Amino acid sequence: MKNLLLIGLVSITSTASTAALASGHSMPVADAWSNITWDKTAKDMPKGDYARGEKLESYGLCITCHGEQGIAPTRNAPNLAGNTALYTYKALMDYQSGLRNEGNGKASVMHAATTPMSKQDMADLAVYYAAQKLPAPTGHYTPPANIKKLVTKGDVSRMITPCASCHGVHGEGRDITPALAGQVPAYFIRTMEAYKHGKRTNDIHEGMAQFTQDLTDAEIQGLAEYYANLMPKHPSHPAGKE
Amino acid sequence: MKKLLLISAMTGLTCLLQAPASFALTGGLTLEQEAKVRSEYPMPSGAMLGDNCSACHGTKGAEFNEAMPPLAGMDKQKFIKQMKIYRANKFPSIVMYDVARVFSDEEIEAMADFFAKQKPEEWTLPNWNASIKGNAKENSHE
Amino acid sequence: MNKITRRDLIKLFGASALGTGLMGASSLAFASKSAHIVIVGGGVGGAASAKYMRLLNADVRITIVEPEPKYIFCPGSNEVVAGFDTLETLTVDYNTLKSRYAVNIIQDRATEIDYAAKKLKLAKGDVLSYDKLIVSPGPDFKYGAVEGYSKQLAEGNFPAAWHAGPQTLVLRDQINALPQGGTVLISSPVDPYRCPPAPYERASFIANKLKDTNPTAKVIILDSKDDFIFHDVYLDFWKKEHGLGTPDARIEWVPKKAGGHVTKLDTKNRTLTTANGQVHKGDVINIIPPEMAGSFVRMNGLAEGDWAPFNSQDFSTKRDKDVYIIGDSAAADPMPKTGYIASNQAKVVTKAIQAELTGKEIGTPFITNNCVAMAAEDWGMTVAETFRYAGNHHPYEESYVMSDPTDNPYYRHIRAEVAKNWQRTFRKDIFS
Repeated sequence: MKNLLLIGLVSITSTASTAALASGHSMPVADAWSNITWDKTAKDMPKGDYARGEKLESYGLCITCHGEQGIAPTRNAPNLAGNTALYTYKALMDYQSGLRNEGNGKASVMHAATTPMSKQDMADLAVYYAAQKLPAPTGHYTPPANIKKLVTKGDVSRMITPCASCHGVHGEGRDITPALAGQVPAYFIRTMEAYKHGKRTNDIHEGMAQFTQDLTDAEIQGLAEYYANLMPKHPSHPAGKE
Repeated sequence: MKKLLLISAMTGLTCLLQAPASFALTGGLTLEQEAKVRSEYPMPSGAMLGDNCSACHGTKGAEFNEAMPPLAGMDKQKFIKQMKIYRANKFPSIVMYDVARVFSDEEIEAMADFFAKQKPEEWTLPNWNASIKGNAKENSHE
Repeated sequence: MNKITRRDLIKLFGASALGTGLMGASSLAFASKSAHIVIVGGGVGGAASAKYMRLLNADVRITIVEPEPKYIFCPGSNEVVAGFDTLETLTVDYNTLKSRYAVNIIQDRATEIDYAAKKLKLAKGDVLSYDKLIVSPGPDFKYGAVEGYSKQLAEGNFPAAWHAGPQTLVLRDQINALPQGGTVLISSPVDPYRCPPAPYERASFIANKLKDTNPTAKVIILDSKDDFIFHDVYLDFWKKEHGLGTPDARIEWVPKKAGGHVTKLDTKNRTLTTANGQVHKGDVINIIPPEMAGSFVRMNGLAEGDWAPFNSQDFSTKRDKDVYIIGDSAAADPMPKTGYIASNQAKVVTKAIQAELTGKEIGTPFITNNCVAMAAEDWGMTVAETFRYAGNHHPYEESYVMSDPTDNPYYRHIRAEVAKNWQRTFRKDIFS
């Protein structure tokens, strides 16, 4: 290590938030949402700034795992492009508070990544990602009948409501219900398993645990393929985009 | 660390740098010198190169950990594309620019081949040892 | 190849080798004439050699000679000193190597190599024949470098705590019992030594802890060097978090040029004397002694000076082409002495051995060291080093990128989390 070239780059990114030193090793324990507390939080969400979100995508290192414009390059990280702004906002809040935890080594990077964020930062990212577009799926896919039925009709015998009734017929999501169209299949499966086994509990009243508990592994796999191959439906007027 | 050259570059002036590079010190061989050393010997095998990734990405790239994605079974073209993006320092990353900067196109391709043929399955069952039982249990829902 | 019977196998390896592992039948089918790879030391270098050898070759016999029944990882042990992790998390046993990789583990100390007969003698009297011998015993401490210090004192009230284990816990307890406003002295050794950033990580963790529990206490690093890896990041951290350079600083770094080099320990008065004659009083005294190759390496004529030289292409020793040296005992400069390096050296050696066994050319080696360190649980830093082969009788050529101080909180937080992820993955890569 003889010759050293020191490049001190002074950032001009104006993210104002500073790191608060977290105390303790484990994830904080956060209160679960109720409809009332969430509604108030959603109402108080700052107006997102697309340009600030775009800067934070790099400055906050989101881009290193979630890819450029929120299109994930590996099976590990979910696509963020085109998800609803409220879902992304809530996910960031839940990671920061520790409500979205999923067990040791499952959310600690996202907890670290969101620790420096202000609510404004989260809103900015949420609006930025909501305005990005996922590419159309490639290849031919015909959904098996039982999977198509789960999506559109559900399964009354197992008290499973149709996926589409909350996530939309195009898997486009709504408010805090995430978009599923074009999602990374490995992430989809991991998430469904986490709901099923009670590892992911940050949804209001833990509704997803009830819908997933009777799904078989094969059905979860089938749904992952279904949604990965579903053409994402992009909003005609993305929020915040000029 | 005998000779220190301090260049304080405001990002407004970084047109000479390709990108908003990582906040980093570099040293040892320059990339040009590195490429010269590299060219003097046969290329290390894909396994030789790829096995260097295991401490972070798991044995044969098959660790399904949170921060570092699994590489086992990764699509060859996706791997190549992503490594070249990192190497070009197009955007900030935690370490992947620092890691990728030294590889030639051929080496990246050899690693891509190596990882593409590995099984995309978690390296071991979560019984890997008693002392880290809790950890393994936490991971077992995958 | 002759199939051997189950009874032969039990005789050869002990019952533990008969677990139904990954290799299934093929690993059990090695002929009595298949090559025997013997490994001295069951640390990171030794364990990685065993596992990666087996991944390449289902038939060779693999034996590790290691005196301890379990291995405790060093990465993560500063966290134990600071009280936010336990030794249990860092402790692994050899069961997976035995059952899954059919590795024979002999709990004993290797003493002597008979180079001519290709035999290894063990302390309890056993003698092993080897075809290839991989030596990875870790370093020894030069306790005598500090007058008045000794192994006995390190195992008593003056822990070095440099290899994770009981001394780590003694140091932790001493920090917990530090009187209000007390002083912790850390003596940081000359290069090279295991894990270059670790003395500074340790000092930072202790200062962080004292900030909460004992805010007027102080950590003084007495250094035998004028520089260290991540120097700028640590100084930046100490300024921001611990008032470095102010009268009330919780941490102080005394480089060699300012008289930091420790020469003498006085146990009665609990003081350290430095090269310029200054005497420092410490309520807790943590001397990290300088290091040299392990005694097995030195006793068997593998070392020149403090460390063992090797041929760069395959880490075979200058003394004997069938005896390899890896890990902290190797004279591998510019490679730092890290577990990461040891594990990647193991991969080079095992590939070279496999090439030789199968009559192929030995390939070009390639080694990286992508290490992480922390200043606090949410303040991480990374270094990515590449070592290119530059000829069999030439040291490897290095290039590197390492973290610089940054005000970007995302880097600091995420790097620290990556450090924790890395520790988990690394333990698993070596031992399972």
